[in-house]
Amino acid sequence: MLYLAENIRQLSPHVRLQLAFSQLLVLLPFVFLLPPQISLLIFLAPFWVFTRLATNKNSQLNRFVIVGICILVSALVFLQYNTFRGKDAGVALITAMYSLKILESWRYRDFNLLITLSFFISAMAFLFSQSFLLVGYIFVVYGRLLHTLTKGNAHQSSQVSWRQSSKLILYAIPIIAVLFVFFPRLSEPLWRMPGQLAAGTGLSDSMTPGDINALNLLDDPAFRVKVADGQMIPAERRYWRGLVFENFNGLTWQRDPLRESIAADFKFDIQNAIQYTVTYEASQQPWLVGLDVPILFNGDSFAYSDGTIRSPKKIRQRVRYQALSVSGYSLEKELSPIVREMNLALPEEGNTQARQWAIEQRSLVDSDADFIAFLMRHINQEPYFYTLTPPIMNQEMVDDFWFNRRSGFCEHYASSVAFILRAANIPARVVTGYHGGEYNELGEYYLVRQWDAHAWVEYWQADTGWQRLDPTAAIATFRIDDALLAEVGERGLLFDQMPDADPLSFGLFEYWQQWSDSVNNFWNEWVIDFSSDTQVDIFNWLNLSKMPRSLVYILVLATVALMIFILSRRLIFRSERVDSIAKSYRLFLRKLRRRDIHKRDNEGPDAFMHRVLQRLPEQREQLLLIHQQYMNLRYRSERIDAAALKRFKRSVAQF
Amino acid sequence: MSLLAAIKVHISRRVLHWHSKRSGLGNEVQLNHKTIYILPTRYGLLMLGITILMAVGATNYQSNLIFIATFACLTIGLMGILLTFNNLIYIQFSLHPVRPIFAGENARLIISATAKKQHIAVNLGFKNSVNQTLDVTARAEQRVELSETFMTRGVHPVPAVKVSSQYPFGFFNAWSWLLFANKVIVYPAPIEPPTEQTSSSGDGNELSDNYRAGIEDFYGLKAYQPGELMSRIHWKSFAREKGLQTKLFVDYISDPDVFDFDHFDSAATEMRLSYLTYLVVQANRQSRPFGIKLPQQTIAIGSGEDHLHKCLYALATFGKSSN
Repeated sequence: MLYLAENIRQLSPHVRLQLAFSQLLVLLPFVFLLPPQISLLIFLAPFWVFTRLATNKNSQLNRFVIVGICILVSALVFLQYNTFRGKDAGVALITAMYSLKILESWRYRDFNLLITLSFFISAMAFLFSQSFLLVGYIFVVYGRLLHTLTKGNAHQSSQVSWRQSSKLILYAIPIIAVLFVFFPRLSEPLWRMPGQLAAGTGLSDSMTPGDINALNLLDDPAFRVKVADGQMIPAERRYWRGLVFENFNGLTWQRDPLRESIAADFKFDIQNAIQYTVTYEASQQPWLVGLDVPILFNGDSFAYSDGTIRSPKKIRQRVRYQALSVSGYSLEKELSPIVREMNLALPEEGNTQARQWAIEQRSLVDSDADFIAFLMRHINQEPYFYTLTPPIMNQEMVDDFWFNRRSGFCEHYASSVAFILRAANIPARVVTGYHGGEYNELGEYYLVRQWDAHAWVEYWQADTGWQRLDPTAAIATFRIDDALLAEVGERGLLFDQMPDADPLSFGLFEYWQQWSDSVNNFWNEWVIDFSSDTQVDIFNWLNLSKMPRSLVYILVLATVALMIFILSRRLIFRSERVDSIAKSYRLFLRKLRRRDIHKRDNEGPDAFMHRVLQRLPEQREQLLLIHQQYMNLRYRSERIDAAALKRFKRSVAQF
Repeated sequence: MSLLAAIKVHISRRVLHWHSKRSGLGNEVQLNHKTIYILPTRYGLLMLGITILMAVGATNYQSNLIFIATFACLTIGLMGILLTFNNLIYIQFSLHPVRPIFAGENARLIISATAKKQHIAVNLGFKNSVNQTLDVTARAEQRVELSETFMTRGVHPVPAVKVSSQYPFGFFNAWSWLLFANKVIVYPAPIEPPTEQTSSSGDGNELSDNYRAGIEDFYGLKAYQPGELMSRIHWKSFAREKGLQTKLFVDYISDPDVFDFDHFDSAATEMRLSYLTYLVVQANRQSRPFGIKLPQQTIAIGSGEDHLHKCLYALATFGKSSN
């Protein structure tokens, strides 16, 4: 066959069809990752070419039309993002241009270029998703790309099996694993990429309840907690402290800057301590969480006297830390005058109705404790509603909520109750964090999601220190928004009246959910969060840290080279196709080889059988049967007779 | 020819020379580790670029999954080197004897390829010519025919045959040169001489010197040698007491031609050789015996394919140091 240079060799319609199909496979993940309009845009060209070729129609376009399409598509991408910069717009533009290339791919040069680029385009999907399913998919796509390349580089007439490409990908996995674990990598980016991080969903720096008229119910994981020595945390204790707000200006609760200057003094009894590891998702905030009240933790974070933990940097990536909490621990048994003042301070004006109401009600009872019990009863018996879509409240947020609207979510309740307590001369503050978390039996950890975000109140009493008060929990169950009932299972722990999940109803679906989150957690821990720190740990674990690092890398490189060498010897990119008759006959030959009878290359089946019969006269009948069946199948019948083939296979198997 | 092209030609000559020292000559060439060279194609370089870009991206986005994709590409690339290399190694090529040609014709070079394993999409070809692609099946002979034009007479070495393959991924090009010991004999191009100069001797002259011992015509007498036929003894001479004499008979050859180089004094050497070639070929086609006379070499009259080749070979190598 003549071999033409690739820049003049034309692609056959069949190869072009394969190319369009590979492109569609490469682009498929982006359908789920990019906005639908853009997905449609990038799918259009390969899909059009694919359908035209599949129906034997002309898929040639005028050069000017192609240029026009390119400009149009770029314009549409620009319209969508208003820019070409940044991750999303950049990826959209690159994938769109990549998809349009098929329109003018007629030669082998274009074919090679497109397939080679496909390796890159596929990997861009990881900018949007880190799912292990996606990794599996990309491996499949890589196998397919290699197969397409192999076909393109072989004769057009050759049969190229996809097995070799798949095998290569499978064989590559251990090599990738070695490189992944040992390849030197930087702990810091070389430079910061645009649009690298999406907006965080973690705890906010401040709380303005009146502003919010819908709480997001993201089921994204916020963090996972694994308790040491398998201790369980009772449901009512699963309050995860995030931030403490002590400063209220009538609208917004904030951290009081004075708090940072107050030294922490934790004394605790180790007996009641719970030690646990938190895997905290990226939040774009420096605050970390701990089981109420976190006391000790490792790392370079800083603990404040109000029980909040702050990392020196914003959490831009998932972090893992260990912490220690003591059950029933109360902070600040003795309140310094500054802190007392801080936690009694009210804005100079506003919410007068609530202030008066608080003073009046306080004067009706004997003690602070009675007042607090009254407040809880009040919330439970008066028509207070829990809803995730409260009306927006005006300037006088506490008055408006407490006396008029009477519906809101945890932030409204916490904010109002803290205000009322302060008005009644009880030091009080708002704590935000998470409440609840579902236990994963398989992974033995608690998964806390974004929708578990919560706010509650802490008030101070002379002998007990700060005590938790969760006003939301006091709301009567029947006053929970109907729309919320669907979600209540998830947020159920908010309401003490909600029965615990029946362990018998632990169905297949829940099991699957737990299993998938468990896999996800493993995946996160060992693949996605793998970092230069983990590498160091592995080096230490393997006792390699004493060896000079360069020697280690040389060893690793040698290992990888050896693996590649061995694997490449095992891979022969054959284009041979062996039918089932030949397969069985080969098995027969192998069985004879074991008896040291070797078929010579220049020997036909008849001559060979003649020789075999001389060597194995006692199996004459069996051998003759196999021979006759083979000859009939191979040389006498035009089409393979399935029944005869089956008989032949059986005879060979029995031999 | 520009300077750059000259340098290129020089370098490629040096490379071939260097290669020939490594591989040696033979009519059977088996590719081995020493004689196969491999370099990335531009798609291989593109793949390398992509892999580096992905590694930078993975570092910048701190994305381990992009690292996985990067290592996958790296592994595919490294495997590609060995797979392409393995696709050439241990193929045995042999060149069949090359039929001599006349200058300006294409020499047909038939090359057989055999191997123990299967090798796919192996390209064979001379420099600057269209390549042939073949699949080498395990333990079966595959033949390719290459052709190359030779413009000058002489004994030429077979030009280096470039074997290359980019299979399976096209990221790497593995190649080698096959240097065969066989020679290509190129006769001068036959050119018909002007009519007045066609032959050195008179046409069809019965009394010419071209004869050989025969039985047809009486030629003369010569002294008897013991063992000669009694019937040939010229008894009349014996009767005249001239001693025993034998009758000598000869057969006159109808048109015996000895083509003489010096006959065409007006033409240049190459032209004369072309004329002689033409005459020799014509004579052979008409089955006439012929001989040639060159300044340092004379080939006696004869006929047949071997004789033809002998004459043409003499013409092809005339004035060239033959070896």
